[in-house]
Amino acid sequence: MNSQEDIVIEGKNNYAPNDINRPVPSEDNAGNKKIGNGLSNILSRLLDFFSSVLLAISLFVLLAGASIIGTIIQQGEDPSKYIREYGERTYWWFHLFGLTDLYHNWWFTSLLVLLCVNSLACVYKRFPATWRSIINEKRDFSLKFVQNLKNHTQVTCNKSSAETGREIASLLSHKRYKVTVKESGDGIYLFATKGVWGRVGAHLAHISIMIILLGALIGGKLGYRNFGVILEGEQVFIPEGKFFLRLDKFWIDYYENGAVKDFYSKLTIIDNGKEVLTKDIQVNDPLAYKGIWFYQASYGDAFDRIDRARVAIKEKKTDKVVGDLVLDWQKEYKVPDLNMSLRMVSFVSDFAYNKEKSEVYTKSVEHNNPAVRVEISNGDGSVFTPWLFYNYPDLYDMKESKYKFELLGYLPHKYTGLQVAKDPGVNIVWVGSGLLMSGLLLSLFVFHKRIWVKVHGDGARAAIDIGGNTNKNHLDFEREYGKLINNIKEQSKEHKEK
Amino acid sequence: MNSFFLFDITFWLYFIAAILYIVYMVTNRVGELVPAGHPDGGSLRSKAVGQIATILTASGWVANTFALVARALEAKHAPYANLFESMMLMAWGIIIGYLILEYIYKIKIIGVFVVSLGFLTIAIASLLPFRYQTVEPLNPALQSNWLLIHVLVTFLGYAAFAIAFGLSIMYLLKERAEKKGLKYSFFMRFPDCIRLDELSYKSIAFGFPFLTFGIISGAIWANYAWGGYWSWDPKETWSLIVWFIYAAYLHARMTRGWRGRRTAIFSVVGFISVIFLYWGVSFILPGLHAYA
Ligand code: HEM
Repeated sequence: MNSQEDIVIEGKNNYAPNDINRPVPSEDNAGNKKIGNGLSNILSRLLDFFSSVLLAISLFVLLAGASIIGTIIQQGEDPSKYIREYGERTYWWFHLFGLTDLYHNWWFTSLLVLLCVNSLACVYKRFPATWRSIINEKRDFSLKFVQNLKNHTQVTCNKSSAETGREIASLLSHKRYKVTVKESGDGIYLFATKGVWGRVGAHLAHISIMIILLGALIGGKLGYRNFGVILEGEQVFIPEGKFFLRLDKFWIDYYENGAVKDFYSKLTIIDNGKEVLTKDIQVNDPLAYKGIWFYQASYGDAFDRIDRARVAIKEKKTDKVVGDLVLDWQKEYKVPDLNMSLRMVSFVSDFAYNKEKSEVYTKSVEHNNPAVRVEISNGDGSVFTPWLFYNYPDLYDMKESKYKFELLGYLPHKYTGLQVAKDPGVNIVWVGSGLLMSGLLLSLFVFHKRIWVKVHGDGARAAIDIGGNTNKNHLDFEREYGKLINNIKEQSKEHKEK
Repeated sequence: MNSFFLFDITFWLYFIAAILYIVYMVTNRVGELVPAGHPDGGSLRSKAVGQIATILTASGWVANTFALVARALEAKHAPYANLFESMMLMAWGIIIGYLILEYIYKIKIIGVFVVSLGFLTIAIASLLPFRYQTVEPLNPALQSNWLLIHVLVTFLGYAAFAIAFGLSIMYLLKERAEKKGLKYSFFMRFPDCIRLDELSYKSIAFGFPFLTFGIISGAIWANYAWGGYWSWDPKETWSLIVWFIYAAYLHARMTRGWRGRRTAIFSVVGFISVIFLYWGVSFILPGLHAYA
C-alpha cells in the first residue's frame, strides 16, 4: 500500500513529544534559574553564552563576511599601493582594522578562537546527555509509552504472541537493528535500535575544529617557509636541519607541442658527511628529511655561468669560417690547425661595465645581453681575453689577431628553485580533518533509529503495538517504518491463508 | 569516438528531457500527492511523457559518462583540466543526483527544475569560447591524484547544492502559490512544501561533506604541490565562505528549528555563492585556480 501518502510530519518540530533524546535548545536553559551563589550563576550564564548555537551561527556569518572583504581588498601589498588605489584616509582605516592582512589580524583570529571555544563549550554541555542516551537506551517501557508515540500502529494477527515476537525480532535484526527481547507476564517487549553512533558525529566534528586550528597554530609558530635556488652540482647547507643538500641533476620533460610536461631535480641529502638519501623530486612529489620538505617549485637559467658555448672562428680577410667549436665551461680547448687554445672563463647574462671600478657585471638575472669571456692563447705566447656578445657579434675587433670570434649560441646552466618548508603542525591538521570527516559522515548519514514493540494476546491471536522514532531524517524513517509495518502485516496475512 | 560529438548528444538528450518534464508538469493535472488510483491521478498520456523524460535523462547521463571517458582518453588525463570539462562533470553530478532522487522518491516534477539545471550547465559550457573547450595537456602542478580527487569531490558537492537550489526555488514558488490561494497554478502541482524542504535539506546534508572533503583534499594537494596547505588564495577563501554559509544553514535547521522559507532562501544564497566560487573567482579575482 501507499505508505508515503499517510505520512504526517509536523512542520516545525520533528521530535516526538516523548523523545527522551530530544535536544534541548541551550538558550532555553538560561531560564532554568539555578539557586546558588552569584559566581556559579555567572559561570553558568557564561557557559550558556559560549555554548549557544546562536553564537555559532553568528560566527559563521561573521567569518564568511570578513573573508569576503579579504578577497575584495588585495592582501599583503605594499602600503604605497593601497594609498595610490584607495587614498590616504581609506588606508588609515584599513591599517586600523588590519584589513590588509585580514586573515592574520587580531580580530579575525579572535573570531576563529571564539568558534573553537564555542564548539568545545557545546561539546562540554551536550556530550554527557548524548553519552547517557548511548549507554542507556530506553529498553524498559510500558505499553502506554508505545501507544503515545507519534507513529504508533496496532496490527493484529492470528498467531501466538511468542511466534509473532520471534518473527518481528528476526525481521528487525535482518534490517540490521540490534534487538532486545524481554518477556514478561503480560506479553513480549521488543526494543530495536540502530545507528546510535550517529549521535556522537556532531561532537567529533566540533572537537575537530579545535584540533585543526591547533595544528595551524603550531605550524604558524614553529614552522617556516623559504625559497631557494641551487645550481647543478652545488651543495648548500640547511641550517634548520644541520645537513647539506646537493643538486645532482636537473632536467625537464616536454610535451610534443613543446609545453613543459614536468621538471625534476635529483637531490641528495648529506648528513654528518654521509650521503643518506637521494630522490628525484618533481612537482607534486617532494623530498622530506628530518621534517623539512623540499618542493620542486621552479627552475631557471643561471646568470653567471653556462654549460657550453658554441664559438665560430672566422678569418678576417675572407670572412671564411675556419673553426667551429663547442666550449665546455672553463675547460681548455685546443685548435691545433690554428695553433691556439681557447677557454671560456666567465659569463654574464646582462652585460654591463662599471667604468670607475673598470669591472664587468650583470645588470639583471635576465638573459638580455649575454656575453662570454674567452681566454685565447696563441702559439706565440700571447693571450687575449675578449668578451664575445651574443647579440652584437661585431662589437669588439681584436686588431692584433687575424681572426675574429663569434658566439653562436650557448647552453644555459639550469638552477632548480626549491620551496623549503617545515610545518610540525601539518599532521595535526590532517588528524583533525579526518576527525571532521568522520564526524560529518556519522552525523549526516548515520541516524539513530529506535523501534519499540509490544506483542500481547491470548493463544492463537496476537496484538502488536508498535512505534518508533529517529533523531533526524524523519522522511526516510517514516518510509522505512511504513515498509516495516507492511512487512509485519504481510506476515500475519500469510498465516491466515494457510 | 570524438568527445565533442558525445557532448552534443548529451546536450540534445538533456534538452528534450527537460522539455518533456515541463510537458509532463503541464499535462499532469493534479499534483503528485493525489493517492495512486485516484481518478485524477494524472492521465495516461502524461504518465507516458514522464516515463520518456526519465528514459531520455538516463540515456543523456550515459552519453555524458561516455563523453567524459572519451575526453579522458583523448586528453590522456582525467577530464577536469578546464572550465568546459569541469562543467560537464558538474552536469553529470546533477543528473545522477536527480536520477537517484527520482528513483527513491518517485517525484518527477522535480525534474522540471533539476534536469533543466543540468541542461543549463551543459548549454553554458557549449557556449564557452572555443579556447576554453579544447583538450589541453596538464601543466606540472595539476598532475596529481589528490587534485583529481579534489576536483571530483568538489563538483559532486556543487551538484548536490545545485539540486538543493532547484528544490528551494520550487519550495518558494509553491509556498507563494499556496499563500495566494492560487488553486490552479502549475506550482500547486509541485510536491508538498514539507517534502521539498526536507529533500532540499537532504541534498545539502549530502553536499556538505563533499564540499568539506573537497576543501581538505585541495589542502592536501596544495601541501604536495606548493609546500603549504592553506594560503588564503581567493578560491580557497571562497570555498571556506561557502562552507561557512552551509554550516550556518545546517545549524540553523538542526538546532534552531528553521524550516521552510528561511532555509529555502538560505539555500538559494548558498548556491549563488557556489556559482561565484566557481565562476566569479576565476574571472574576477586573481589567484592560482584561474583554470577552473
Ligand atoms: C566550526 C565548525 C562546526 C562544524 C563543522 C559543525 C558541524 C556540525 C554538524 C555536521 C552537525 C550535525 C548537523 C546535522 O545533522 O544536520 C552539528 C550539529 C550541532 N552543532 Fe555544530 N559544527 C560546528 C560548530 C558548532 C559550534 C561552534 C556550535 C556551538 C554551539 C555548534 C553546535 C551544534 C549543535 C548544538 C548541534 C546539534 C547536535 C545534535 O543535536 O546532535 N556547532 N554540527
